[in-house]
Amino acid sequence: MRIKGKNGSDKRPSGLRWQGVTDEDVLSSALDFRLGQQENFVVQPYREKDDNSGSIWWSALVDLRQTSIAGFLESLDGDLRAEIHIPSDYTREDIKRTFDDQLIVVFATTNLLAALNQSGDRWGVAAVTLGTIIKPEFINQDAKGTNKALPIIKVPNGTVITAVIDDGIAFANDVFRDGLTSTRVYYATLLPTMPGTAPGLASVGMELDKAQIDALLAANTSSMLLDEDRFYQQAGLIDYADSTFSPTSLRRSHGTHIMGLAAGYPMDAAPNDRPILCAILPTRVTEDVSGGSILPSLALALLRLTRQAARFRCKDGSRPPAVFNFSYGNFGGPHDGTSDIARIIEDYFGPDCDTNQELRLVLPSGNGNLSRTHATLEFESGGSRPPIVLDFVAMPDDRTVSEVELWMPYSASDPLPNFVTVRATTPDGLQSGPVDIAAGSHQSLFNDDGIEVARLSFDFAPLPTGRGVITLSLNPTASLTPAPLAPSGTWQIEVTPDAITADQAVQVWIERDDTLPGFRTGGRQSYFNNGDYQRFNRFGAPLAVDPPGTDSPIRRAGTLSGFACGPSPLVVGALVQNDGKMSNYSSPGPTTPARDEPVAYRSGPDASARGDDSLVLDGVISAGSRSGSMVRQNGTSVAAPRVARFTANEMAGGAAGDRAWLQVQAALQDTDFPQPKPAQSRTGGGRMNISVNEISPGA
Amino acid sequence: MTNGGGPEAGLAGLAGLAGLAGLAGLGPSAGLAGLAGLAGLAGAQSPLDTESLITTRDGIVGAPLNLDPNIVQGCCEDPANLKRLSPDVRANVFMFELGTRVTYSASCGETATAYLWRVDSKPNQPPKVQARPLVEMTAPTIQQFKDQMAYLSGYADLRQDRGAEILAQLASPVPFLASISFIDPARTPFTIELLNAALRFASYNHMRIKYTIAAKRPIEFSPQVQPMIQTPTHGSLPSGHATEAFIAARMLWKLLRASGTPQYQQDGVWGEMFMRLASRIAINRTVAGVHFPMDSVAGAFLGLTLADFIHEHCDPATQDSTSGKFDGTRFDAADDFDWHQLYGAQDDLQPKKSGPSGNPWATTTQKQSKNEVHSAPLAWLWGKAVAEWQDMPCE
Repeated sequence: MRIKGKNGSDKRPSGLRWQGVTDEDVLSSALDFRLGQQENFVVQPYREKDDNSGSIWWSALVDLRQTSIAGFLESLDGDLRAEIHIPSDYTREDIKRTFDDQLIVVFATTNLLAALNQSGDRWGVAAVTLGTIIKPEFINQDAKGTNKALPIIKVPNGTVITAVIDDGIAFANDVFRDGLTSTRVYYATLLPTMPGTAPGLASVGMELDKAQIDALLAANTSSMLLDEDRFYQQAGLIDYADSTFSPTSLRRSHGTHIMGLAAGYPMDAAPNDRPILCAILPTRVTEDVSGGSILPSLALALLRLTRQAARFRCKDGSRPPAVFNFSYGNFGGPHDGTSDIARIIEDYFGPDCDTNQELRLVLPSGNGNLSRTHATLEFESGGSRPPIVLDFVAMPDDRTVSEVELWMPYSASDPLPNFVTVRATTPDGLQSGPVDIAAGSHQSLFNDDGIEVARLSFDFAPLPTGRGVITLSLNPTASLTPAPLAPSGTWQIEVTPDAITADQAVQVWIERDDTLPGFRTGGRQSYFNNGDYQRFNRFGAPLAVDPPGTDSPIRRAGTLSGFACGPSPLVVGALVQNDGKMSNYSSPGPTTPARDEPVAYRSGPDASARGDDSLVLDGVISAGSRSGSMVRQNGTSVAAPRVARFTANEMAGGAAGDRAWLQVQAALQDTDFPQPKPAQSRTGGGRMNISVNEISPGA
Repeated sequence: MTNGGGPEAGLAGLAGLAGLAGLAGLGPSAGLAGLAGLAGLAGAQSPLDTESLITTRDGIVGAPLNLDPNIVQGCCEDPANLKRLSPDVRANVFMFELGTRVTYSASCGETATAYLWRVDSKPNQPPKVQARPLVEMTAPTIQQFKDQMAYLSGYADLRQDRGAEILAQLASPVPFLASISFIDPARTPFTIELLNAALRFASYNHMRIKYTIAAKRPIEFSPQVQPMIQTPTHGSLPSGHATEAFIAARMLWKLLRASGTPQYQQDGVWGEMFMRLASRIAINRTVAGVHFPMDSVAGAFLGLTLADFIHEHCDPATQDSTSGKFDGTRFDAADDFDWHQLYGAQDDLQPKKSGPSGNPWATTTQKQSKNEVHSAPLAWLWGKAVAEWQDMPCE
C-alpha cells in the first residue's frame, strides 16, 4: 500500500530508491555487493587493530587460470602481497606447479579480494568465491608449506578408511575408540580452533594425530572415566572464555551423530580395519552477515584428509580405499555439476584422479523439497508472452543476507542472447529498472542515507559453467546496531521473456539462509510464496511431489542440494523406514545438463536410506556428544552416512563403491520395501535397507 | 420459660473451631506429621484434629486420679535418645554439634579474607578456647572477576541444552546423587539425614564467607549476562551450589567407602561419578549466568574440605584432620573450573597443592587427629547411615 503525500503524489515511507548502474569492470557484481556491504555490519574485533576498514580478513576460493600459485603471488604488487595468505597445506611443489585452471583456498583482506574482483584478469583470476570473515589471529601467517613426506601408517589387508567432514564431531566418544585411551581416529583437524604460531603448524585450525589424541585421552581419564568436557577444552575444540563454541558441548551434535552412523562401533568390539579421519568445520561466524560459505573450509578439509588417507598402507603394500562422508548441503548454485564445489569434489573423486587409492564421497541429496526455494521458469514459444512474477518473501529479523539466483540457459553465442529481462519490486511497491543479460547490468536499491541495501545484477559465471546468472542480493532485514537494512516482506521478481525459447528454462534458487538447532539466531530462510503453489494434498498432508501439470513455477523437482550435482559423488536421499515412503523433506533431482553435455549428470540421488524410523519417530538414533548417550536426528544428513558405512564394508570385500555400483545395490535392496518404488528423481536406484549393527568386520 | 433462660450462645465456642475446620485441608494431615518437620512446619496441626482430641478427652477422661507413676529420669547425653527424636529435632542437634565446632573471623586487605576456625574440645569437657585454622579463603581481585566474564558469555550458549536440569538443580543436589547411588527415603533415611546435615552446615559456613567477601555477581558486571534464573542476593564467591554439591558428593562417597561393600571398594568409579555430577551442578550455575568459574573453584574447595571436617566428627576411626587455604588472587582468571585439580576420588584425597607448582592457589594440610573432636550424636548418625550401604547378610 502506498501513502499519498500532501500534494497527492505517491510517497514512499521507506525513502528507498532504485538506481541503474553499468559497471563492466568487475568479475562479479554480486561479490562486489557482498564485499561492500560488510563495511556497514562488521564490528571491530574482526578488523586488525589501528587499521582502516580494508582489513577485514576472509577465507575465499580464487579460481586461477593459466598460472601457478607462485606466478599469481609474484604478479601481485608488494603491498597486496601482505594482504593474502596461502595456507601451508599447499606444498612447495603445489605452489610451483603450473595449471590450466584450479580453485585455490586463500585468506585475504576485503581490499585484496576487491582488487581481484576489479581487475582479476591481470593476475589470471577468473572468479572469487567468498568464504567467511575470519579473525586475523585465527590465521597463522607464519605457516609455511613444506615438501616433507608424512610417515606411513600400516594397517591390515581389507582396511577401508572412513573420513568424515562435519561440524561438532565429538571424536573422543567411545564409539570411535578401541580402548579406554586408544582412539580409532588417526587424524582430526579442528578448523574452528585458533592455530599455533610456529611455521610448521597449520595456517588455520589445529591438527591432531592418533598419538596426540591418545595422550589427551590418557590425561583426562581417571577411575576409568573420560572427562569429555575437559578433553575437548584441552583439545582446543571448546573455549568458553573466547566463545569458541562447539556443538560438542551440547547433548546432540550433528557431526557426532553422523560419524557414529558412518564409523561408530562399540568400544569393546571395535574393528582394527576401519580407521577414521575427520575434519571439524567452523560452525558459525556470528559477525558475518554474508551468511558465509563453507567452501574454503571444505576445500582445506579435503586437502588435509586426502593427504592423510594417502599415508595408509595395507600389509600387501596397497593403499586402502577411503569413503568420505560430507552431510552438508545448500540450495543455490548452477545445479549442472560445474559449481566450485562440484569442481573441487571432482579434483579429488573424479575419474582423472590418482588411481593408487580409491576415494569415494557420499553426500546427502538435501532437505529442501518443501522449502519453496526453487522455481523453473518456462515460456511459450509464440503469442503473447506474459512475464512470470515470483513472490519472494524476505523474512523479518533476518540478520544475514538473502540471495536469489536466476540461472540462464547455456548458450555458445557471444554475446549471450538476451534470454529474459528481470525487474525487482520492493515490498512497498517500488520497482527497479530492467536488468538484462549484459555484462555489468545492475540495479541498486539505496536507502535514505544513500547506502546500497539491495542489488539486482547480472554476472557471467566463467567456464566451465559458462552461463549467465542474475542475482537479487538483499542486506539483512534486522540488526541489533544501526545498519542499512533491506525491507522485509513480499518482494516481486518479474521475469519478462525475450530471446528465451520454449525448450529452455530459467532455473531459480534461493540460497540457503537459516539457523540450525543449537546455534544463535542468525539467518532466516526466505521463500517463494506464489499462490498457485499447492502445499498440501486433499487430506491436508504435505504434498511431497509437484502436482502433475502444475501451473506454478515453484517446484519441488530440482531442489537437489547445490553441493550434490557433480558427476562423481554418491548422493543419498532419505526414506521413512517403516513404510518405505520417501521422507517429505528429501530433495529430488533433476539437475540441469552442463555445457555441451546432452544429458544432466544426474536425475536425482543415486539411492535412498533411512532418514526417519517412522512418521511418528522422526529421525534415527545414533551417538550423542558424550560417550554412552544416544540421540535422534533426521534428514538426508543421516541417510548419507548409513550408505557410507555400507560402501566401506563392501569395498573391503572388493566392491567398486562407485555410483553405478550403488545404484545396482539400491535396486537390489529396494525389494525389502513395499512396492512400487518411488520415482527415480527422489529415490535414485532404490531404497536401501542398511543395518548399522553389523558384526564388526575386523574385531 | 420457667428457667428464664436458654442457651443463647451455647455452641458459639465450637462454632469457632468448626469455622476453622474448613482450613483443615490446608494443614498437614496426621499421616504427614513426620514430614512436617522436614518442611519446617513442625507443630502445625489441623483444627479438626485438635477438636477431635478435645471432645474425645471430654468424653472419656473421668474424675482426676491421685496417681504416683513409677517413672525414671531420662538418660543424660545419650545417643540412644536420638532414635526417639523426629528427624527435624535431630537436625537441630546435628547442626548444633557442627556449628559449635567452628568459629570465624575476617580481614579486609587488598581483597577480603575469610577465616574459618575449628574449636575442638574433649568429650564431656568445657571447650578449650583455642581456635585452629580450618579454611582460609582469600577473594580474587576485581580484575580477575572482570577477566572471568568472558566465560559467562561462552557458557550462555549451553542454556537451551541445560535449561531443565538447571531449574531442577536450584534446590538440593540429593535427588541427582540418588540417580547415581541407591538413595530412597524408605531405604536410606539416615543417609538423607546425614547429607542434609552436611548441606545445612555448608550453607551455614558459605553464607558467612560470602558475606565477608561480598563478591559481586556477574549481572553487575554486564547488562548482557541476562541470567536465566534469578540472581540470589548473596555474594558470588564461593559458589553455594558448588560448596553444597561437593560436600554432599564427598560425604556420600565416604559412606560408600566406609560400608565395605565390595562394589564400592573395587575402584573409584562411584566417587568419580559423584564428583562429575557435583562439577556439572557447579558449572550449570555459570551456564545460568549467576556464577563465575572461580566461584565454583572456591566452593568446591570449601565443600570438599568441610566434608572431611564433618567426617572427622562422625567417624571415631578417622585419623586425619584437614585444613586448607584458597588464595583467589593466585588463580589465573583465564582458567576454567576443573575439579580434578582439587580432589582425587580414587583415594578420597585432596592434593596438598592445586595450581601451578611454586604458586598454588589452593593448599591443604593433613594432621593426625588428636581424637578430640568426636561427636556422639554425629557418630550415631554416621553409624546408621553406613549400615544403609552394607549388604544384608543372607539368611
